[in-house]
Amino acid sequence: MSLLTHTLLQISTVKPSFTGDDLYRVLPELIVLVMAVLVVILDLFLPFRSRPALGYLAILGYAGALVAAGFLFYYDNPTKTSFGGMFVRDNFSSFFEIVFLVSGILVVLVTPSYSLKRGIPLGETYAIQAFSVLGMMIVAASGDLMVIFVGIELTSICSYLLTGFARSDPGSAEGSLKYFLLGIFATAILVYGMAWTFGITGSTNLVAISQSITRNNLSGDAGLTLGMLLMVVGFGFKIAAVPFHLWTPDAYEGAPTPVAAFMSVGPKAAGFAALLRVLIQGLPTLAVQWSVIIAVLAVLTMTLGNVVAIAQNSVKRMLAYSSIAHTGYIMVGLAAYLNTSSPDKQNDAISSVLIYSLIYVFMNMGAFGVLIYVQNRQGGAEVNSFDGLAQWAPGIALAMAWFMLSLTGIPPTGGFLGKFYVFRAAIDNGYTWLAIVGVINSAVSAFFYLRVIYSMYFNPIADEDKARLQPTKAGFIAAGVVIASIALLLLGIVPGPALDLARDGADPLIQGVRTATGR
Amino acid sequence: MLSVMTYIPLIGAVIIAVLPTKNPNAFRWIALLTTLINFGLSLYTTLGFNRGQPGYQFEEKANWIGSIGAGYHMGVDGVSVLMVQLNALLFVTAVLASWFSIQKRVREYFVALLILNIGLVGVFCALDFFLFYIFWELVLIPMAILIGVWGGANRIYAAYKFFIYTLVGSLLMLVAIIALYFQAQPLVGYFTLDIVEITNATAGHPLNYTFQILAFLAFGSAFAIKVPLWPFHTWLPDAHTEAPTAGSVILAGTMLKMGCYGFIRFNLPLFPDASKDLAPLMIALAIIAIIYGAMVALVQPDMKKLVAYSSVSHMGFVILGLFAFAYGLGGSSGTTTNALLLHNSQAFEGAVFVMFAHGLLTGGLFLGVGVIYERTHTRDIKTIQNTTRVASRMPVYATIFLLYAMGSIGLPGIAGFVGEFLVMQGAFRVNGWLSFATSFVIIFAAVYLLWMYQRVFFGKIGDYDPAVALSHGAGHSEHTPDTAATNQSGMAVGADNSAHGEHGLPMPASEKYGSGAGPDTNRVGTDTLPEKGSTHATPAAGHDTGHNTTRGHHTDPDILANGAKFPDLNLPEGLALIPMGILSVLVGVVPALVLDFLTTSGSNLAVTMVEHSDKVAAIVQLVGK
Repeated sequence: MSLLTHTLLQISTVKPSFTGDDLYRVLPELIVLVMAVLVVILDLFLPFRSRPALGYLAILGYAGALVAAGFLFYYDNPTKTSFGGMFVRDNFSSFFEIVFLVSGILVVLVTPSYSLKRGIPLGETYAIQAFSVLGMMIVAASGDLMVIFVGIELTSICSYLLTGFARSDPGSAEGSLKYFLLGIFATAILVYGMAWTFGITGSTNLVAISQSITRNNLSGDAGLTLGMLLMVVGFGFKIAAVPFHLWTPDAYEGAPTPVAAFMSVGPKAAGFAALLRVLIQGLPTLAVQWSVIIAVLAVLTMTLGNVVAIAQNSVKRMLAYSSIAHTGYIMVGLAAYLNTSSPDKQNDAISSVLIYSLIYVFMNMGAFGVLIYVQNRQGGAEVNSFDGLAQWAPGIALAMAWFMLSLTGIPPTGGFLGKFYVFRAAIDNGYTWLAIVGVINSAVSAFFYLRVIYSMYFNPIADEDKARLQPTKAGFIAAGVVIASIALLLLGIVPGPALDLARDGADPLIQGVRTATGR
Repeated sequence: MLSVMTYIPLIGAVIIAVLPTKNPNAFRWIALLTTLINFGLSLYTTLGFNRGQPGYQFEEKANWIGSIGAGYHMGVDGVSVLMVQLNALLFVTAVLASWFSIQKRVREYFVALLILNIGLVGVFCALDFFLFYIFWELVLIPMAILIGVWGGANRIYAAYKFFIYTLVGSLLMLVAIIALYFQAQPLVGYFTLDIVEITNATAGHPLNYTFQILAFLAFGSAFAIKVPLWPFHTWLPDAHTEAPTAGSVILAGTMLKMGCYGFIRFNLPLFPDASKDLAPLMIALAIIAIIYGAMVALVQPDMKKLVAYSSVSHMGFVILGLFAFAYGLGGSSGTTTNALLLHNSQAFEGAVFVMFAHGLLTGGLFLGVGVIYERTHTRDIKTIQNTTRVASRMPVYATIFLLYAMGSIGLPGIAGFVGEFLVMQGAFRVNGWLSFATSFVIIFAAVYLLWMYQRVFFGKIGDYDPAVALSHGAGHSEHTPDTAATNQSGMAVGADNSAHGEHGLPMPASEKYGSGAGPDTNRVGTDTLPEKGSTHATPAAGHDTGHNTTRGHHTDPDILANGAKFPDLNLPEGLALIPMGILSVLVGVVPALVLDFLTTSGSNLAVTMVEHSDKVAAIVQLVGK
């Protein structure tokens, strides 16, 4: 409590400076905020039948924010802070904002057909998704532990809500409750870690923290290490790293499928944005310690995710575990950041996290999109619901095969490029063993991803199932799936621009560390 | 040129995929046309290839992914141009072999086959690690699909095993590629994945020895699985047995060569010290593979499995040749003696020659097995032996199959002999006992292939065993009332039957139906030759049927039913088998046709290996020789 009051005091002493520049730098966030509020208001007044049209508004809002973020990325990219250092506008935040906005657009595309079929209110879903995206964007663009906390909580609370949105489904309520209880527990740990860090370094501002550590030579301080550990645990819950993943399968299974799709990419990427901000911008001198911790967690996460995914019969649950496994791959890239003197190697590590997050959005959203389509038509999410998909929906089956291969990491898909880049970063920084664990895991993952392909192409659909196939409006899902497939193809074959984008996105962190620590 | 060659199958695949017709013949013709264009282009490349010029030819280079140093770089040298040529030929053959034998999902089949073609051409042409890896993995998916959809009864297991096995190897190679990329960076001066640049840069600055060993093992595991070298071979018999004929031909003909090619292109030049020091290990594994493959082939009851194990044995020869070659070059010992500098180019040329010849001959054997499988729906040697005498019914086929079998055994005058001879000669220079052991194996090859040939083509010696026939006939006793009718139809057939007339045993019912319109399911199963399918009901077919039933030899009524229609090679099969047979004789008689491509590559590789192992004196000696 004293921490909060102290911080509030600190904030209040800063001269309030709501200049036009400040607002200009938060333009993407503002656009999303306005859109979200508009959706809430219109949802109240629009007649029930026309509420699905709010999806267009949501997409428009995300697209507008995307344009704004892209504009800021290209034309106004030197690091600038707003609101007294609380908010940072740099390429890093712009890159992650692009990732979140893309996942927002994709989730809007895959949501309506599922929700309409099951009577889940659409307008509110869009609004809460938009607030969640806003929270993620705030996380990515924060320069202060407090703002990270606010952003993470905004995202998490929206996620709890969304998970329990299928009110008639007990599984949904159960998942939501589990998620909520474990989530607030994790939040408490996170705040505790932040408090320790603040107590040792005397600041919540990330740049100030790293300066204070260098100035006072605090990198060996046990209290600081404890704070770092607690924060890693807290963020570990958010990104579903083993052993903090226990909420994931139940929450994903219980949540409406579009929500599971959204949670498996958005909040996860936000968790990584927060980890990168805190660990690299705030605690760069502790890299030797946290890198090893992250590496060990990465091994556990990859291995458990993949091994348990093999045993799953439900594709939804399989994708939940696979998302845990992919958290592990991204953590490999994060662990590869060892504070060497070479900014190039640091960039390799950070940009591998960024590019993998982007690629992962497309492949996981695509796979979930197909799952939603199959659920709409077949009713179930079991592997055998995919039987004969190649016969009754050849295009969708082809796309699913493409996503599965991408998740396995087979070239020329984007997934291969992501893995290549992550393992490259690991090997570059002396983590060859970690890369080997990673590739073995990739081979293991082939088992369960191929099972879906096998079921789609080699199993015929049972006649009674075929008779029960329900019609569905698949236009939006098809659009989402096509966007994701093409993006994965482009990322696999001509990844140059995206890689440059990621490298630019990683630069501000490295520059920040250099100026802060004087290295 | 190389890119055009690589991507032409893609155009074909897209056309087949979107063609708004359900007529399978359209797909077949487009696939044939595509592979023929591909063959023509590769022939043009082969003929235009300057055999005396070292280095890569037909090079294409473009920037691709600047930030990681991956470029688009294609090119061929003597080894790869041969492989590309072989590959193009085998794909034409594969399309012909699938003409009638593939009846379900024809469209998807040819799309998968053509995508496989892209991957295989690309693997042999790519000169950039990133590109190479993409093509390498691109091969995996369509092949697994070919096995998994159009394969035999146990196809899913085989497809899975194939996929996972090769994926594990490839991923280890990926790690090694990335590690190599960082190791080479200080030598090249910048980050690049270009194979030629990395190979050149490591000249004079050999890579760290420990790294060489580790990278050799990582690359080697990928290639050894692909070759496959004992003890990584277990996926091969399963994959071969379950794959459709064309899949087996491609698998044996070019996919196994990917592994050998990988050893030639990467392991030997990049890690010469490791190659030299690990040569005894590799030679030992090769010898085991040669002997083990042959021994296991001896006892195989299944024709395809027999040929598959013979492949293991033959590929052992390739590895033996390559490492007999490496044994004399490079090395970490630091001393350079004349003995070390064998410059054992016979071994190298022999190894590549075996690769080429094995592609032709084993491809031919698999085609041959496919032909007989089409007719009898079994590959079990005993069953065929007990039921059919193939040679008397299919003389043309029997002749051409004998050619392939003899070639595979190593009969002088056919391609198989030259390569094995050269490899043994090379092995002799390393150690005489190696040659002794391997030449011993050729006897095994003769045993298993000739024995198989005898059993399959000439049937049972001692002709007709009444006890067997009666015991099986008893199972059909309920059909005896039909006897009169059957005999009538037999009489109508006429004098052709006279040779077997004395075996007037009751014909099983299925045969009787076979000569009619045929409600029998077995008959339906044979209708894989659509243009002949319509002839069942005609009197001519009835005549054929009666003629071909060598009554009394048949103990298995199922086979009997199929045996009722037993035409010799049809046009696509003949077109697939005969030119390849002629080519293998041609190459066997004039081996220079192939060897000319290899001389420069071989000495080039030798110089590279010696250079890379940091022995300036060695180069002087080598050049002086």
